[in-house]
Amino acid sequence: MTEIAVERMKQLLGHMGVVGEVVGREESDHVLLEISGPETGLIIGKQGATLDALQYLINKMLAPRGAEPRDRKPIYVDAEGYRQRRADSLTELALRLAEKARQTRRPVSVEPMNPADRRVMHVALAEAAGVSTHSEGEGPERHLVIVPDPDPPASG
Amino acid sequence: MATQLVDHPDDLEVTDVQEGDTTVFELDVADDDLGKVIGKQGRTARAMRTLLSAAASRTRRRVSLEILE
Repeated sequence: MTEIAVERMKQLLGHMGVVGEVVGREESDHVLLEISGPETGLIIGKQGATLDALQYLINKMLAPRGAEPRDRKPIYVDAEGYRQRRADSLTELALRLAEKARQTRRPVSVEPMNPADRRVMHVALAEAAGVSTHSEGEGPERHLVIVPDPDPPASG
Repeated sequence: MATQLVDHPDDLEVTDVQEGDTTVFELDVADDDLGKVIGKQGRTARAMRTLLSAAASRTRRRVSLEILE
């Protein structure tokens, strides 16, 4: 199924008129398609929007008439290590905003993000001292909120 | 690209209409494929529009996608 996915992704990029190489790798629980070439900026898009659209559509295309469900794995799409870079910068952002929440003792709302990005930030702060995180809002408005722990009750 | 999303690719038709500086792609599919090209909460349609805009970003033209019922 990796070969089919690579082939379909090449077609998709071809339809978009974009030049790019596609390399597929099958992992234990997913198939990774790595796109490289001179136009990866275009392929990634703003906040990875184009990359997410490609990933969503390739999964849709292969789903209905693909192989048996049991050997069908979700397809992840990446370009020039974008996913890891994004995760790193989101983690950094999460730590910075957590610090702000602790110092100001006020909740900090983060801009709306897709589920995968929110998850990275939740995980980044899961072990952080002095703050907790949750999501608010629905659909495209859904965003992370970082809440500082309440002050301990004054004693004496 | 849309042909790979539907059950009846032979019934699918895409027409591009030039309206000023905008190219409108009109997508006509079999009735029972309508849901497939729109997707849950319009996700599939949105993803297709994202790719169209990306593809068009190098040209000066604007693009839009209309799904005909």
